[in-house]
Amino acid sequence: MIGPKRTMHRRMWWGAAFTFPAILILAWMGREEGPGYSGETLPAAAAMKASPDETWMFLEGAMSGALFLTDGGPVLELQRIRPLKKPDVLVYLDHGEKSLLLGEVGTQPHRRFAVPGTVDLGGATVRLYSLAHYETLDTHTLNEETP
Amino acid sequence: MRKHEEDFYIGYLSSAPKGLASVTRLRILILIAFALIAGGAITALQSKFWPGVFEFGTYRDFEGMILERPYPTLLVKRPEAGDHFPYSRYLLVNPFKFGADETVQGLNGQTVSLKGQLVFQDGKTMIEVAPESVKPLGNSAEPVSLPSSEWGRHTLRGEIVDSKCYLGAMNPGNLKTHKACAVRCISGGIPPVFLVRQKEGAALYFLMVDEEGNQVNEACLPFVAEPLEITGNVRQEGGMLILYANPETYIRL
Amino acid sequence: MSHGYQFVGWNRQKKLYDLTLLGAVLSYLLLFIVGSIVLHPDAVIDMIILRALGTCAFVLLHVILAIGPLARLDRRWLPLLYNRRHMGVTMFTLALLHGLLSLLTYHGFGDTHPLVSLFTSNTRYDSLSQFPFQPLGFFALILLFLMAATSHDFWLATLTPPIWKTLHMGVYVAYGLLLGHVGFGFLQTETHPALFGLLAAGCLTLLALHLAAAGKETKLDTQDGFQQDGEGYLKLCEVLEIPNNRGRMFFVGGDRIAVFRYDGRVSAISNACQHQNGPLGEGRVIDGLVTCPWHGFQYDPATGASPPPFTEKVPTFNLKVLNGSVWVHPNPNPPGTYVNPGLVEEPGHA
Repeated sequence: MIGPKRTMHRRMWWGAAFTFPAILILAWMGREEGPGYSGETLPAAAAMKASPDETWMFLEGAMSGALFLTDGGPVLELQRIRPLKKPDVLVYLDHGEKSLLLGEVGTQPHRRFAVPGTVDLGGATVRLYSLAHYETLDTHTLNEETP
Repeated sequence: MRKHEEDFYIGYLSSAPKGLASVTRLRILILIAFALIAGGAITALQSKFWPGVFEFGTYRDFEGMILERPYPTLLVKRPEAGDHFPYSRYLLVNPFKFGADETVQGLNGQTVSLKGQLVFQDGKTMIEVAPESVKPLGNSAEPVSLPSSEWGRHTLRGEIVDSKCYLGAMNPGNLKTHKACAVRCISGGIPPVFLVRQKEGAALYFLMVDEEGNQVNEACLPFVAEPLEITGNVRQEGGMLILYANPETYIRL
Repeated sequence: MSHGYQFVGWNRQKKLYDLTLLGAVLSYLLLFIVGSIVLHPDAVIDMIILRALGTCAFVLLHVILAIGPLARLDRRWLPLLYNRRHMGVTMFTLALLHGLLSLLTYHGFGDTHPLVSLFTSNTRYDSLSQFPFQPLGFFALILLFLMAATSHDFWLATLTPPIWKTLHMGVYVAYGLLLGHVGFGFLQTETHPALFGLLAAGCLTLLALHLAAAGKETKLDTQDGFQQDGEGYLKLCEVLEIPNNRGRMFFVGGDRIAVFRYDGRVSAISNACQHQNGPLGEGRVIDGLVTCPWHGFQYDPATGASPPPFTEKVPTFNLKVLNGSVWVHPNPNPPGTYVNPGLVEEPGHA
C-alpha cells in the first residue's frame, strides 16, 4: 500500500534537509563584494582652501555653487548634492550681452571652473543649461558688487 | 484538547463549523500579515537603483557631426564655447539591443540631422537613434580635431556594463541579474563601458577598445558583469575616456 | 469525487478560499509596487512589477509548502489544505508572468532568440558568483507548469494517483531550484544581508515544520508488540478506546489501518484515502460513511467502497471483536470486499 512510499518520501525529505541548506550556503559563498574601488588616483580636482566669497543653491538644493576670488583669478565651484537627472548640463556665465561657456557639469560631483579675469562678474548670471534638452535649468545672479 | 480541534471540516458543505471558522480566519490573517511583512521588507531593502533616465517615447531633434570610431558618437555644437572645445559628444545606439554602426556607416565626419530618444545618467548622454531619421545635411564642415590627453597606463577595477542599459534603459543596468541583458546588448553592438568606482567622487566610465583602438564587443562577452581588473592605456578624447586594453589580459577578481 | 469532471466544482468554501487568496495576492502586489515607487523614486515600473510578481510567487510557495506539515501537526489547519490546489495554480500564474516578463526584458529584442539566449548568454557553471541562475528558474517554471496543468482530479484519475502524486512531489524539486534561482540571482544583486536572512528563515521554517510533522508521524509507525492469535489476528485495542463515529489508526504489517466504531459496530479499512492518501483514521463517520478529513471523500466502512455513483474503493481487513477487544488480520482484502463488522457488544460471550 502506501508504506513503501512513505519510507521513500522520508528518505527524500532527509535528502532535502541537507540539500536545501547546502544550496543556501553555496549561494552565500557566491556573493561578492564587487570590484571595490579603484585604488589609483586619476586626474581629479585638487582641494580648494579659503572660504568662498559667495555661495548659493541651484535646482532646489540639488547643487550648490560657490565663487572664490583667488589670486589666480575667479574660480566657480559647483558641488552636486543630488543626481540632476538632466542630460549634458553645461555651465555658462552670462554677463551683459555676452555668454561664456565655462564647462560641463559632467560626471564628477565636485567641479571647478576658472573664470577669465577679463569678465566683469558684478551682476553676472551663472546659468545651468542642458544642451540635449535645449533648456535652461536654473540661474543665479552674482552680487552687483562682485569685482 | 486544543480549542475547536474536535470540529470536523468538510469543504463541500456550505459553512465550516463556527469555532473552526473563527480559528481559521485568525490564522489566515496571520499568514497574510507574515506575507505582507516579508513583502514590505523586501521592498524596503532594495537598494541598487541608479538615477538613470530613458526618455522612452519622447523623440527629439538633434544636429551634429557623426564620428564612427571607436563607437558611433554624435558631436553636437555647444553655443558660445569661447576657448573650450565647442562640442558635446553623445553615444549613438539603435533601438532595442543593437548598436548604431550600420546606421552611421559611411557618415564619418558628416553633419547630419536625426531624431532620437535620450538615455542619460550622471553627466553621460546617449541618443537612441530612429535609424530612418538620419539625414546628411551636406554642409561642408571643417574637419574636427578632437582634443585628447593621455592619462597614461593604469590598472583599474570595475565591471563591464553595456552603456545603454547602464545609462538608463534598465535599472539596475548592471550586476548579476542584468548580466544576460548586458551580454545581449553588447553582442548586438551597444558600446561596452568599463564602470569604475572611485573612493572619492563618482563613477568613471571608460569606452573599451583593444590596444589598436578597435571595438571589443565579441571579445569581452565572457567577462560582462563580473568584477574585473584591467590594465591599459587611458586616453581622454573629445570628452570621453577610452581604455585601450587587450581583452586577453582582463583579470577576473 | 465527481464521476463526470467539471472544470471547478465550485462551492461556497472554495469561493471564499479563492476570494481570500485573490485579495491577499493583490494586496501584496499593491504593497510592493506602491512601496517601491515611494521608497525608490529612481526605480522603473517594469523592474518593480517583475520583482513584485517573483517575490509574491515565492512567498506564496512557502505558504503552500507549510500547509501540509502544519495540518499534520494541528488538524485545525485543514481548511487551508482543502483547496490548496488553487493556491498552487495561482502561484504558477504569478511565476509564469514573472518568467515571461524576465525572458522578454533580459533576453528579448536582441540578436538572439530569447530561449536560446537564456541558455547561452551565461555559461559560467564553473563559478558560484556567476552561476547562471535563470535556467534554474526556467526549469522550476516547467515543473510548476506540469503541476498546474495536471492539478485537476481528472488528471489524478487519468495518470493514476501514484504517478500523479510523484509528479506533484516535484514541488520540492521546484523549491530547491528556486532557492538557487533567488540565491544566485536576486540576492547577488540586492546584497542586504537581511534579504538573505529572510530566504534562509523561510527555508529553515519549512524544514523545521516538515521534520516536526515527520517526528509526529513516526511515533505512530513505531507501534509494535501486538498480541497475536493462532490465525494471525492481532489484538489492536479495546473497543471502547475508539470514540463513537471516530477511528483509530494502527501501524500493522508495514502499513496503517483505520478501525472505526459506529452504530454499535466496528470495521477496519485501509487508512489511505483513494483520492490523495489522506488519513481516513483521522476522519469521522457521518451518516454511516467514513469521511476523509482532507477533501471529504466517503467510504462504507464494511465494504471500503464509496457510495454510488462514486467508484473509489479501499482495501478492507478481516476483524473480530472478542471480550471487548478488537482483533484485526493484517492481510488486506481486495478493495471493496465486504467484511462482517464486529459488534460492540458481542452477544453471549462469557
